[in-house]
Amino acid sequence: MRKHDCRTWLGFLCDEADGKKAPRLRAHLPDCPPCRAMLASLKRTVAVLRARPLGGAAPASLKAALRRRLRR
Amino acid sequence: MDARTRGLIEKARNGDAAAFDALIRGYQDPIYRMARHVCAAAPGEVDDVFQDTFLTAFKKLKQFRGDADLKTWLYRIASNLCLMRYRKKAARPEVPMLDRPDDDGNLVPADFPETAPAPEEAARRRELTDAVASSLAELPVDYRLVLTLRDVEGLSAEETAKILKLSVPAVKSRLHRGRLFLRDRFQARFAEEAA
Repeated sequence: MRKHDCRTWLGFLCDEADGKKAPRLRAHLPDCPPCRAMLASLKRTVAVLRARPLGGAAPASLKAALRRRLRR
Repeated sequence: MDARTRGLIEKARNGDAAAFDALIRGYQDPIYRMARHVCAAAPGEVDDVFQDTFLTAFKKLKQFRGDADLKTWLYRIASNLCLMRYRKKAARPEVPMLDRPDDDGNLVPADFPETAPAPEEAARRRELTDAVASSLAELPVDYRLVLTLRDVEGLSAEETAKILKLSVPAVKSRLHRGRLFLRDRFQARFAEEAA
């Protein structure tokens, strides 16, 4: 019997971590603890990035500096 | 595109800086945020990328096709500026696949330890910020761009491919590898701290 290789599921795991449904993967997950662990850790990684941990709003002083340069 | 935006573009194309300023108001924070994440390895570049993106856009607004999406166009300019800055530096390292197959050919699970902070925990936010910045900084800029546009900015694979002039499979491949890389770095960082 051909050995199972989780790498073949990587694309589906990433799609699933994005919230897209991957029916074939869902059927596979109950029988594969390594894939389940991989999916959980990928979801947490994506959640960390989606929280925008490095911040978001440009400082007002930077926006003002840009405005000045545009008007030169 | 609505009539107001079309009017602002028209005025800005004729050199009206106030019209351009009004036009880009809603895009300044996304471009800054993108630059913060992509320039994680060189935070000193963030302000320059931010300003140069809009100065370039103002200069080249005549080249902007009216039927295109302004945000996508601005992301493209910002991406190119990031690439130009980083490509001057050393050759890009290969991003390793971090999971090692075990004897059965399966991936060795490398989940985060229980001590990994959830993003909503304010007390550990700074720690998380440091971890993300240093982990992103280890990735080649091509991967940081894909991760930032997809996971931080929330764009689709198709939009990201268009901005970076890549195929959708190339975007997905970089995204998968980049996520695996970060996942491993987060795990190492928080496992170290828990020890």
